[in-house]
Amino acid sequence: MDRADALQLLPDTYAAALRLRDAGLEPAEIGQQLGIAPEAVASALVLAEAKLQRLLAESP
Amino acid sequence: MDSVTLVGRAEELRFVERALRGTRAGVVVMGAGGVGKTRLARELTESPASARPGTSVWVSGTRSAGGVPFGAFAHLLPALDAPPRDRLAMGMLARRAVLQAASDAGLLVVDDAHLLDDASAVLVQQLAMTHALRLVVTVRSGERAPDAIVALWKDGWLECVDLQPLDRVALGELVAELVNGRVDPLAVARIWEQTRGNALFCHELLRASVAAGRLALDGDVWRWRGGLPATGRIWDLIDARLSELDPEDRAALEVVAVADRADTLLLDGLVDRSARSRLARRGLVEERAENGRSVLALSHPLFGEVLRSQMLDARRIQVCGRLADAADAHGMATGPELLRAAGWRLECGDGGDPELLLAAARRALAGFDPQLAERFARAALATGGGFQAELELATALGAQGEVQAAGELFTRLERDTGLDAQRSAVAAQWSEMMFLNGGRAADAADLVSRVASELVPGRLQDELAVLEGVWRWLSGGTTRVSETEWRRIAGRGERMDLLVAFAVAPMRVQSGQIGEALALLDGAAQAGANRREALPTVELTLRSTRAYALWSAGRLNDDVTYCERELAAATAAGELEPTAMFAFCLGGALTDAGRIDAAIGSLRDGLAVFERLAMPMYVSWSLAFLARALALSGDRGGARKALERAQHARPAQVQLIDPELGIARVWVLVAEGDMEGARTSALGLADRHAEAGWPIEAARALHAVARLGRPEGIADRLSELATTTDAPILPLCATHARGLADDDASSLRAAGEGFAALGCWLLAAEAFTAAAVTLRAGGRAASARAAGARAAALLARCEGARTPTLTGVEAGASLTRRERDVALLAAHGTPNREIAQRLMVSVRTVESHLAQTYRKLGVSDRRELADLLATGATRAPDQAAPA
Repeated sequence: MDRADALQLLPDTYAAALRLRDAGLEPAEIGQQLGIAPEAVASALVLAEAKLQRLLAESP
Repeated sequence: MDSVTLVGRAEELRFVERALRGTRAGVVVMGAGGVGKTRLARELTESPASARPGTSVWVSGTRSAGGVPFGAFAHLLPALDAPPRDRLAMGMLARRAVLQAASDAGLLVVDDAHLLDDASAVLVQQLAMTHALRLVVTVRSGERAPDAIVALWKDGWLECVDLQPLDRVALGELVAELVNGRVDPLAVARIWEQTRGNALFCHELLRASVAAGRLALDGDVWRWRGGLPATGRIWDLIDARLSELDPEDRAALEVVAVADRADTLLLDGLVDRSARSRLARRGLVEERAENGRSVLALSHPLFGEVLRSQMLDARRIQVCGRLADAADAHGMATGPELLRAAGWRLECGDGGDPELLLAAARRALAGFDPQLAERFARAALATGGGFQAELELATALGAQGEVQAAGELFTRLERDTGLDAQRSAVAAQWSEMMFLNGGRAADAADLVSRVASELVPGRLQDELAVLEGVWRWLSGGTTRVSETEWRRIAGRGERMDLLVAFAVAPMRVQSGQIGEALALLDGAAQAGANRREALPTVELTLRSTRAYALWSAGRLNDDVTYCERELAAATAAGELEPTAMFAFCLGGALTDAGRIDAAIGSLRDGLAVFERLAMPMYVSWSLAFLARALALSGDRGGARKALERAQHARPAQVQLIDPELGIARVWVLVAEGDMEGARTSALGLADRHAEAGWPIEAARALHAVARLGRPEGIADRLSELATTTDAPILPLCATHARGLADDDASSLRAAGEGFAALGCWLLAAEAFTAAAVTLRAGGRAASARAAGARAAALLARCEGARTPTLTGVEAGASLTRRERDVALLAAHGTPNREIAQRLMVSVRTVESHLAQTYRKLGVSDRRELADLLATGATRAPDQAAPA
């Protein structure tokens, strides 16, 4: 499984948060796009990245 | 049905734990209702693994206490005859009470803080601002919370995390945990589709589905049967939420529910913009991008189930009519909204345009939804769809396994039509059904041959010639289409190229030309995707042939990755036949990789669907793989039963599956302890397959002989076969066999590394095990330990696979081959007389071999021998035959 495959397994919001960050958006813009509080964007990115790494590590 | 363990929240739990140790006073956990905020907080505070089990203080906001100052804290306050009248004094009293109650752990959990009264909210804010204790505060997203609570995250007093629904993998784990068993991936996909990872909805949906028998055990696997249950607590929960809507918003929501993710343009005239905004603010609808267009959807699919079930027929018909008209007005009835638009027309009782209905039937067939296709085809027939409607109807019936009804319809169509195009179309569809749903490959070939001979020479005749070639090949006959003919046909446009790839690629795989097969499949991939609607079976076959090619080449890492991706896409789309196909392909790859438990599960999943769709060739093929996987797992009885079922289900006119049936028989004999029979059977297979020009299958059988203790002379035959194919596994098999025959550790290690690189974990483990034994016998203890460690690491991936090499790792090392054969049979409980007959030696010789074996291994009876060899024999001591 590569990163793109793992991204598809994440909840939509987490996958979108990582894509938007990779596209260079600021946390406030990411929050606005995803409908979550700007203050929650940083934790969403941390959790999304952690879940992604777990999926990649667990794939055979 | 309650989950004991918290599933899918390891990262969130770590995040919150860290936040509680950080510089801020704690954390706000926000999220949609039912997503699991409270469960997370409970895990944090009550789990035995928690740093502070059972010592935290909980307060909860509720609607009923929301109007009472400090209502949420009432249970912590001392009972006073005359409570302070002014709010400040009361606040100080409450603060003291909280601090006292939380003095042990210093942790306060405030659940549903959005429902707190203002006084309680201010108290929580003050506790955070003064760092008086640590706080975990849960808030439902989309709900208006008191300002003091909002300030907790806006002003940075607490960390903030927005809890998302579970991901697909975690949802699958939760479902398995809740039903305490394995759940069919199609059922998981269904539950995912409905709950979108919401844990509460998942709990309730499962509870209702099990109670209604919609989710039921089939053997040891939970499978979905029928539609969703329309009762239960989940319905009450959603109903309570929807009952808060005023009539205007409820009516707007009903339109969105019936439209079911329709284009926003289409809904512009039907759902008032202000109502749309209000519903979005309430978290009931959301606008999202899907396949490059903007759609308006219910924020949760279960809302739609409830709304639609509560709508009166007249209202639903009215909404469908308006949606169908809007689709026509926007020119969307033939584009991406085709299926929905045709469905709305049907629903509102307006027969509509037969062309539209026929197009919808074809789209449904391409989406592997034959039931829906049948519905559209019948409607098209009723509105004058004529020949084409009958053809789609027959195809849809056949795809559902209704072979007799479909056959009668095809027969009538063939008899009544005189046009070449129509006769060709009937022959193509009918022959496909004959093969797929009847296993009648030879009859299918005869049918298209007869019809082709009656057509005017040209494209239609060529198409049928291609089909005849495929059906003949599958039946084991010789295709009449020559190489020159294939090339001539292939140059006649995209459709013909596609058909030729469909026909030729599997033949190339079987003859060992993997690179050529993959190149054909690569070339056809785009054309296949373009023409999926016209040739759905061809397109699916092209995709599954890629799996066949990778598996035959031994490229199991690539095969497993590919099959998992295709399976995930098929289950997510709810496509039955592709789901079964890739569950089957994945099961085959996992069997060879040695991941036996996963293989058995996947093969059973595919088998259940193939049986439902009445596809005998795939039923038999799945059972043959299953028999081999069960044999490798040590389940002798299950393996024998699966093999017998596979043989019984094998269609008389399909020979493609014979190699797998043959090799399954070999491994079932091995599991039963009949090594001599297994080797004899494998040698026979190898000769037959080599003669038929199937080098990979011949090599598989020959390699089995070497693995079963007779490697002499095998390596040369394998090397010779390897020159006729580009499958990377064949030279490795030859090296492995040579290493076994010559006791050559370096060959064995080289083969092991090669197998491991391809993902053939079981073969790699065997090769390193044999290398370790050889090295140990040669006195190279350190190298033997290294090889043994490598074998152990590879075996750890193999989920309990057992082969003679592996089960005899330690014990077998010091035995002669004959002693090992006798030992394995004896360990399975075979009496000495029977062992003697099978090995064609005297009983006295068997007794002598056994005595030697017992002495070498330090065991005193068959039971100890069985334990040592871990063969799974379970005879009671008093049943054991005398040594």
